[in-house]
Amino acid sequence: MENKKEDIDNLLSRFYSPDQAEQIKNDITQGEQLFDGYRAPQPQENIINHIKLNIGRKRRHTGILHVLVKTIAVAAVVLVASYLLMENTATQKPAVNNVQNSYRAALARTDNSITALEKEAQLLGSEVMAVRLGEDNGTNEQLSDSVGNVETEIIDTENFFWKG
Amino acid sequence: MNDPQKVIEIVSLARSGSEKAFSELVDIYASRLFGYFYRLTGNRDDSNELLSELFLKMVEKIGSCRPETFEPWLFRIASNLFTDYLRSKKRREKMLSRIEEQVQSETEPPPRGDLMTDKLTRQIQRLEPETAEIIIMRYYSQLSFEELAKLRNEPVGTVLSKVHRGLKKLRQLMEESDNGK
Repeated sequence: MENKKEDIDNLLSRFYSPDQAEQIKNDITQGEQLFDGYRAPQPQENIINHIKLNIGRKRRHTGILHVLVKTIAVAAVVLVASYLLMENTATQKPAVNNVQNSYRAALARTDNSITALEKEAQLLGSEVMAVRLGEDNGTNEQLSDSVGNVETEIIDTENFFWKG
Repeated sequence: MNDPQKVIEIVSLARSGSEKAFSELVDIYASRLFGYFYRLTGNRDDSNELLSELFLKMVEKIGSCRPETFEPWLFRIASNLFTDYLRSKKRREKMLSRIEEQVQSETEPPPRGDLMTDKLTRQIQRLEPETAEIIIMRYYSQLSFEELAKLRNEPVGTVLSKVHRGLKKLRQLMEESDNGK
């Protein structure tokens, strides 16, 4: 049997002196010629056909198994994904509820503040009216300052109100 | 010798599931692998069995093989199968010898293996199994010494030396057999 894609001389020269290399090359060649001289029997035709038949069966069997494994894997992935999705939805609900509750509480707090501010503005307004009605001579400086202060307070309160 | 490029193409097709490609690989390698097993076992039936097992393993595991290194890969599987075969044969022989001892038969034990074993195979059987395997693999696999060394995880110098000593010893055994020793 003809060998091989290699440079045997080069290989032998790496390990042996030229004389030794030559001797070893001869020994190997003569040894391998024994195999050429005594050919091994060939496998029987029916054995080869049987092997090919078995390969076909094995291929089909492996193919079916492959498809089965793939299907099971995909089903498992879908199941796990669905489970995780459901789990997430379940854990997210309370979070949404919490946000909604906080939002409502904040709104209620804002409503209360608005009501209080409105009351304060009304109170200040009636106070201004009372002061204005009571200023007969209009010369009272202290009274005038108080009116100015009250007006400033009203403006501040209104500003505060609109800022929220 | 097969065109390595063609073998690579066939192996690639087999990897993608082509049944025809598998059949072609059987046609290309059956003869050499049968020779390999026959020389090592000296028995046709065992060689047939090992050959069938080998090709089924090839189908099963071809996904793990690179097409460029198919041949060393295939012969590595063959070598592993032969090692398993030797182990089970030893177990079988141990069991048989125990039975023989128990029966204490005076008749000659029946001949084992193939009666038609040729002279070369008979002399190969007299070598150390490891030596026999390495020279047979070298011959039937058509692998270079470098490839053989890689396959066996041994330095190339060691493989070269083992093949040389093995073949020299075999030639000596053949000559002795010719001289009626």
